[in-house]
Amino acid sequence: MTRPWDEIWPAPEVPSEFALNVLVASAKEPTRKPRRLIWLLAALIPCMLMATGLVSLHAHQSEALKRAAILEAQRKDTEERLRRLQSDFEMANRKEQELAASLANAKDEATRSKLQAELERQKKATAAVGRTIRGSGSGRPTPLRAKNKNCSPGDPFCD
Amino acid sequence: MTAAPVSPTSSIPPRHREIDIALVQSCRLGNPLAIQAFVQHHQQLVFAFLSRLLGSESVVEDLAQEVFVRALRALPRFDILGPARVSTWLLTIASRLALDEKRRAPRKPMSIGLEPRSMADNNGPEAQHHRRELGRALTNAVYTLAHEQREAFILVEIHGLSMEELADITSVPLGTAKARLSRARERLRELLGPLWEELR
Repeated sequence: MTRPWDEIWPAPEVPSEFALNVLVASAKEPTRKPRRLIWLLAALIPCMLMATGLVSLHAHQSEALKRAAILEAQRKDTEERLRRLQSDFEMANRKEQELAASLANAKDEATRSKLQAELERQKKATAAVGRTIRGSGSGRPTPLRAKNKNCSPGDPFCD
Repeated sequence: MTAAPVSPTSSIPPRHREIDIALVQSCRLGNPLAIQAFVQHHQQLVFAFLSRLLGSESVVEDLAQEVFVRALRALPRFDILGPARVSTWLLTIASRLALDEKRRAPRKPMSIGLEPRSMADNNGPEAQHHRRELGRALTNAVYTLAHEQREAFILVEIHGLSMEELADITSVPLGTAKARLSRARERLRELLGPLWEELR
């Protein structure tokens, strides 16, 4: 099977000076190198910007995590302190009630005046613990609570 | 019985390969005469391929020049002892540039209106006229094909490349290359009718 393509579909003549033109064009080639460098830089700069952005985002995120961990530790510490103060307050209150009961049952005047003085001191101590509890909040507004009907007078938790 | 694997270079006449190796080595050294000889040795192939693929536009010469400039730039990296032929490598560059050109300025290629260079005249004016008509019908039909199908047809049917070389040049799997050529043949058969059989 013959395929006389060149006769049926001829290709054009190559210009006689074509090879020389290629030689001249390829001799000019080194001047193209800076253009390649510019392209390289143009590709590198966005990559570097993106990398910097990612690094700073990562740093920001880890900083936020650290800050959250510190706040959490502070919150736990405050809760612990508050629990201790509550326990102190309850103990002081109980002691005050015991003293009041003892005062009511006192027979002689000397014991009565002694217990009275002790009760006054205890009331002051209880009030001091109560003030400490009210002042030891973390700065956040205290959530509103329903009034407790069984509150004892002076109880800082029953405002 | 299993056939021995055939390397892509096995069909190249040894003499051509020697010329290629010697020319490429001299070109790498920057020898201007060797560069000119290298270009002259391959220019007809590149011109023929580009002009058939894109039509007789002025862009063909510029593209052909760009093919050689790029080839000369990349020549130090070309493995002359590897499986690829210089001509196939040049056609690969030409194919990519033609595709870039098509994407850059999409337009319908113009029919080649060239006069045959040295048409065999021993068949008489009637035969010559018939061949010219045949050529015109063929080019008109080829230019209705999609770029990829046209390229497959030109490389395999006209330039005589193998399917593997077509797949290499166009950077597609072998199956895709075969499908493109098959579709191109089918479409040309439809368009050319009895003329197609005459061409075959």
